[in-house]
Amino acid sequence: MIELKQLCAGYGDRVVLRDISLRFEAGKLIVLLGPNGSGKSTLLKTIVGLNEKRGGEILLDGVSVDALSPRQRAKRVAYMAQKRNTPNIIARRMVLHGRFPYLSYPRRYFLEDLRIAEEALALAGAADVAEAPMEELSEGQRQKVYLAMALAQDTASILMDEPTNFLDVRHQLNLMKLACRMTAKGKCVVMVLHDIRLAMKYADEIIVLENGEVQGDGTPGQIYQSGVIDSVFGIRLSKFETTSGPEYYYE
Amino acid sequence: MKNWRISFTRQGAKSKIYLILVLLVLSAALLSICLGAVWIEPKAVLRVLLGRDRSSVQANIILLTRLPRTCGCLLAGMALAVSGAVIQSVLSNPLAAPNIIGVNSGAGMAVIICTAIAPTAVTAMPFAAFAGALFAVLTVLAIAEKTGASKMTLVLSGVAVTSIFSAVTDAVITFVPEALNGYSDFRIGGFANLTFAKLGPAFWVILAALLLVLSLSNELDVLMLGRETAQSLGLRTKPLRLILLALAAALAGAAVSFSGMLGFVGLIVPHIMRKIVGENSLELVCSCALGGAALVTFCDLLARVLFAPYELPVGIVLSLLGGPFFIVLLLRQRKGRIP
Repeated sequence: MIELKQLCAGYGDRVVLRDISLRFEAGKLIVLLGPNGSGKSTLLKTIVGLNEKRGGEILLDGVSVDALSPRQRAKRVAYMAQKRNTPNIIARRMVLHGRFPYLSYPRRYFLEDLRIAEEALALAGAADVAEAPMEELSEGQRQKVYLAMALAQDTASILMDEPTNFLDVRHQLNLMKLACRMTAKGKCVVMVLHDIRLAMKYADEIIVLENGEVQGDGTPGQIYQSGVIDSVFGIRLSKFETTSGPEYYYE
Repeated sequence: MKNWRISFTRQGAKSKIYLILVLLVLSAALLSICLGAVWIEPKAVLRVLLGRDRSSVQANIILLTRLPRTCGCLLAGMALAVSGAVIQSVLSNPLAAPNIIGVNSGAGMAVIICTAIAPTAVTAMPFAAFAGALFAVLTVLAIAEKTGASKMTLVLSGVAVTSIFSAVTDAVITFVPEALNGYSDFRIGGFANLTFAKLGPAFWVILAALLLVLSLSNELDVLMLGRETAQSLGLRTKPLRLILLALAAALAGAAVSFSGMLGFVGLIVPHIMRKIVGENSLELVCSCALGGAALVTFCDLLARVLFAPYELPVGIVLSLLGGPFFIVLLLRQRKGRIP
């Protein structure tokens, strides 16, 4: 579980996040929505320690991040960055890097690490590409491998920054279903998305940010009722019922 | 289980690659000792190396001239190739290499200053070269950090840094002409007149730096995933980048201190090895060490036999190989084939 208390953060002289207080519960898929520059990615980066907080408090499983070393933090929260390098290594090796926070000198992997990496590959649906070089994989397959690496990190929470970017529709849906499977296993998944329909369909909780402040927080139904998406994005979000539940569209 | 079997097969293929590299290094070293103005039989070489012959003319030729030269080739090739691999990985830039980003010229400048101040302090050369190389690499790192430099900007800043160091070097030579002795050989790079006394201090610096790089190979792997991913995995990227670049500078600086400013080894070898063994750092560093040793030794052989009895400095051969290689890389980058 992640708890933010009056969190402030920014870059240089620019304040990006102001007084953010939120709780990300275990077993939930939480989606951060907001226009470009609203502070969604900054929020994730600040939680994971890539960006210094200016004030407030971040608690990971009840422990303040100030009391955690980078490795201890990495054992509690995994992060899938938006921009990544793709080294010319095989996918299994890539996933094994998720075990880095647990390695002590001389950084050799044990059978337990290999077992966890295999399980992560299977859970992420990437077992069939385990031996393939990363460079030869499609963007969708790579995303599965990165997700497997985050799973191998064996953390209670996983943060994903725009994970559906560059994915076709089928791979986007697969990724969302996979995120739901992870929450079913008790993990807390926090995701930055730009696709409002995907967020409304799959999220357990939606947080809407604008200018570094929380404008709305609730279930998709509550968010729809509040009309906060309409006012923040300047669109009209509509809903219609289908046999598989409510669907949303905007114009 | 199927996946593991495939894994072992690939592992088998890699073992063959290492075997070929070791054989290349051994054959290059043996040829380098046998070939010269006088051909010495491999049997005679073995007798000398095993200590059974220490007094014949052949033993003198081997022990005083050819063995130091061969060891110098192996050591310089190893150090420059590993230095290039580390710099490319840390800066995430396939065009970065010790000579391209000004590391060699920084080391060269420091060596010239050291020669001007204390011409007889042979043992100080590797450390002066290390200081110069470190200064160069930190300058380039500062530019990269400050500007978020693109791959091409980094190369261009290397050109600028190189020209500044060359200007300082020329200024030192102008004021202290004695420092010029042997400087033209040093600038081109070569192994003529190398002695074990000159090689000794550099050997220890290179050995220590190489072992440290190997011990940090897993960290280097994680660093190559990108700053954000590496930090999120609990890696302290800033100090690690500095340590790795300092080790790369030590390797290049120590090599430059006795071989002169050999170019392109740190560019050609890591590129080829990345294609062959991939980017697992432990495997990359080991294969670069072997590949670099073999390349420089073979190029030195070529330089000795190509226009025999005249001898070319090996730096010319390496530049003739490396220049076109670099142009091909630039063209491929323009076509977007290098990330």
